[in-house]
Amino acid sequence: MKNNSRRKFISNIVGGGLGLGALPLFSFNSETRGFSPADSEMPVINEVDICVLGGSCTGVFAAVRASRLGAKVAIVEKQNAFGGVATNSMVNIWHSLLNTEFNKQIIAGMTVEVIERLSYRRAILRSEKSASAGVTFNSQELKIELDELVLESGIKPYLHTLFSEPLLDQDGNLVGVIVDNKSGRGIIKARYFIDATGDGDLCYRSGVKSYVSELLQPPTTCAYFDGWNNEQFNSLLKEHWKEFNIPEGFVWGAKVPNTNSYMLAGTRIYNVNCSIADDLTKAEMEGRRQIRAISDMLRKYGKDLKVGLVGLPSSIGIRETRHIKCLYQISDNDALYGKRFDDAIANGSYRLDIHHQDKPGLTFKYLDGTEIYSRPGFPEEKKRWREEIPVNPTFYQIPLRSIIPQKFDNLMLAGRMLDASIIAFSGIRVMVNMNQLGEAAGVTSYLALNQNKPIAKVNDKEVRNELAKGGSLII
Amino acid sequence: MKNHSRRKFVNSIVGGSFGIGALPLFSFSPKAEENILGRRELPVINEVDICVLGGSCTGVFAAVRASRLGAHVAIVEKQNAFGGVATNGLVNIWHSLYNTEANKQIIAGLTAEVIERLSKRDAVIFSDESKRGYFTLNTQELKIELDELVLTYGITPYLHTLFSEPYLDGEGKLTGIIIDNKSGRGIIKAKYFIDATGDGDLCFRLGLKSYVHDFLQPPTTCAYIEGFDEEKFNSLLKKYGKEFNIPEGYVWGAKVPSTNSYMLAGTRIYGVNCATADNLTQTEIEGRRQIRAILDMIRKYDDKIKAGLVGLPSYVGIRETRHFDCLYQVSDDDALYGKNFDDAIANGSYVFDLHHQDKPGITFRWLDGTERYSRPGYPDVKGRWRKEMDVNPTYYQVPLRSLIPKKTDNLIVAGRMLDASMISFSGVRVMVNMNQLGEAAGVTSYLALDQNKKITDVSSKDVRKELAKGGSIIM
Repeated sequence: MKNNSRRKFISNIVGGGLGLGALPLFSFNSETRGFSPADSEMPVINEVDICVLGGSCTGVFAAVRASRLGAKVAIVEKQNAFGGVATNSMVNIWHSLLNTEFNKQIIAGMTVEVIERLSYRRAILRSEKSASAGVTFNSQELKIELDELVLESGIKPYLHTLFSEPLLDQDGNLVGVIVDNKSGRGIIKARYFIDATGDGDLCYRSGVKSYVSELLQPPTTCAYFDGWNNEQFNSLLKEHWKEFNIPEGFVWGAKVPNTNSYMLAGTRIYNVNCSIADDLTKAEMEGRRQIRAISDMLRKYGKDLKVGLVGLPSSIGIRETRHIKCLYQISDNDALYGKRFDDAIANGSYRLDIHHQDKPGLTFKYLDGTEIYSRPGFPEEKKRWREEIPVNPTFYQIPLRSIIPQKFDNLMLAGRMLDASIIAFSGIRVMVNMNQLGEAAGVTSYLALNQNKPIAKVNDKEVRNELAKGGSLII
Repeated sequence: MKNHSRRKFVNSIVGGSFGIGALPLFSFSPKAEENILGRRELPVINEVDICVLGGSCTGVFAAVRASRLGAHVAIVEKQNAFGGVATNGLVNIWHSLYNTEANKQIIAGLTAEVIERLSKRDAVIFSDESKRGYFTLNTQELKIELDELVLTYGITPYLHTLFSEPYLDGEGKLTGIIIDNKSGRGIIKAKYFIDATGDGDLCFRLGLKSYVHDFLQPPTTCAYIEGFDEEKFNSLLKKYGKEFNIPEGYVWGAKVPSTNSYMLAGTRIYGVNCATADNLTQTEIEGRRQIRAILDMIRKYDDKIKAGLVGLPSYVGIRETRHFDCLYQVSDDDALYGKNFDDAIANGSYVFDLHHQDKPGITFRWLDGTERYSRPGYPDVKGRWRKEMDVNPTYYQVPLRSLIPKKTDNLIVAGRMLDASMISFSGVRVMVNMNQLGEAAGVTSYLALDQNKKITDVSSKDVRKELAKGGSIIM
């Protein structure tokens, strides 16, 4: 573990505003590892306290929280940049940090910290009180913000690096991960592991039990467009979607702050499970085909629109793949009725939105008992999913137990693979909620390390306490 | 090998232009969740004639040429999209297809074919002051174009898939490659291999002899920026570059067709070799730091510019890493004096541009014997690198032998790792030249397969003839 005055340093930087000239120097050593087919011993390339797999905001927030408390942390990311769906998939909305009544803040922590930092770069637009958006951000600026967070916190980054396999000792303990990158395969040893891979790759390959919900929410390839006009697009879509083989679905989008580009989330790829390699390749290519179909439709029928394609994601936006069996599964009713947990480590108010695999459109279920079926180009259908009750819940919670799998003492997860039933997951899955899971995983791993304990034995009161001390809202 | 009427099918697609509704169906079979823990034997996931590693335009063009002739081809790409530096690196310029006198076309083949296809999507701007002009591409559209090419020609794509290790039989013969992706490690068996990884990863891990030049051309992180004003930027840079720790270098850029974005190539990262993992991570982060520094400088000192960051690459733009010892090394004089080769498979006219590691700016050398040292904000320094001659060469050539590594039977390289000396490489390296290397590697591998020969034993006359038949300009 490290002993440094990092906090002081961080607050200097965070307070800095524009013109940050001097980021900390790199501490990389540029040793080259030799390679020959005969080379069968794999080198140990690092030994750390906590190794985080997957560098989405969830993963980075886990790493930062653990590192701020004093752990030595490494983070492994397959892409060239941190941020996951928020950056590499271009999804640039974080939902409301308030409860459903907009009268109480329920989310803070690093989500708020990053929003503040981004606002120094004019990379944030704050929305009106809305069930569909809290802030819109510039995802490219977020990539750079996360680089800075990782470097400031003294976390060792491994970009362009694939997690390959778990490394178990002779007694079956998880002692390291095998990674693969430009320098070849190597081992990162660690005492604790946070699986933030989205698909739960480490858990899965370590033989932890997993399951796939019956209807997987479909993935979406987003795109940046210049000259976008949503209204015209929707009317063209309704008329011509068949000609261009554009699946009916749900279309949303948002302006990219500080630019004239529009982020369109207008594709969906059905019947794929993106934790399977072939499905992932297929989804990427089919997603881009749909973007081209949309562009071709606009070129043919909306000539005065002058729409130009500015950006495509470097990783398709995946909503859901497998879930990992944990100490507790969040049930549909836990979420729908806003159940309070003693070990709650996250709060959420995003509506439950069921992306159907079997029909176009979405069904939104709200905590006040109402629901709306929404299909582009058709009137909304409103009704109730339950009878009125005297007091409606205004947020739901996620218990720590739903991110702790059982098989290993030193492994926990953070992200969409949490143990949650199908409808509960449809609301919990959004980024402002996942961000909190990352922070909780980072703090929990740190406490386990500090107290030399299995993760499941860490006292959840202490986790909640430490989360609150570090800026999280704990209710 | 396959036996089908692909050509006819292809023509109908290529001729189709808008509204291509019916791309060939995917032939992926969905796999059930299967746990790989404890599995020692790696599964063979495919057996093909030719396996291409790396899906840049070079790699895709290799695959397409081989597949059009009838080979069964797989292509492995680490990113989510094909196109390499052109797409994932955001570098959106293809240099002239004419000789230096603009009186003779020297490059055609798939480069010309793709330019034509893209022009149907308004995705190409030709700087038409003369035939020496260059092409500016919308490289997001190029991603989709390459998807279509790959699918149209029945090539099996593996996206998000890392090449891990060579797979040798008992006698040490290369019979497959081990790849790693969401479904875990597996083997792709093939009869011939095209290493289009840029860094020559397959060659390197086979232990083939490689070398690195004294001065590596530095990598660049490009960015899409809206509202960019190059003139104002250059004067700000000269004045305030130091305050923001922006290295002096060489800045160029180009408008992205059909959009309001400007592609700025304004960063450079010195002293790194991106074929090593730590350097690659360092480079990605430092490149983005420089982008932020540029934007912070503009925000602080000329707020009227309103520059907004729209896009960052998913892979830093790498100019050069290692080269491989092949049957022939292209020497500086070969290139500078435009030597003609009996086994020439590519022609080029791009200027030699030495990106110095030891000082700012670039030195350009032309085939007519002149040179110019250019540093942003300073006047050009002109001179001659050789005396006048009666007749100046108007293009240079790349021989097939410079792609065939020594001591191998079924392996050929295509791309920047070719065997070339330092100054020759500075001109040869650009995409319109690399594209041709891909096409030559594809055709050569096909001929070796068809004639059941070692790659070294394929007649270069046959290669040149087959390249010309398929649309390449062979001189």
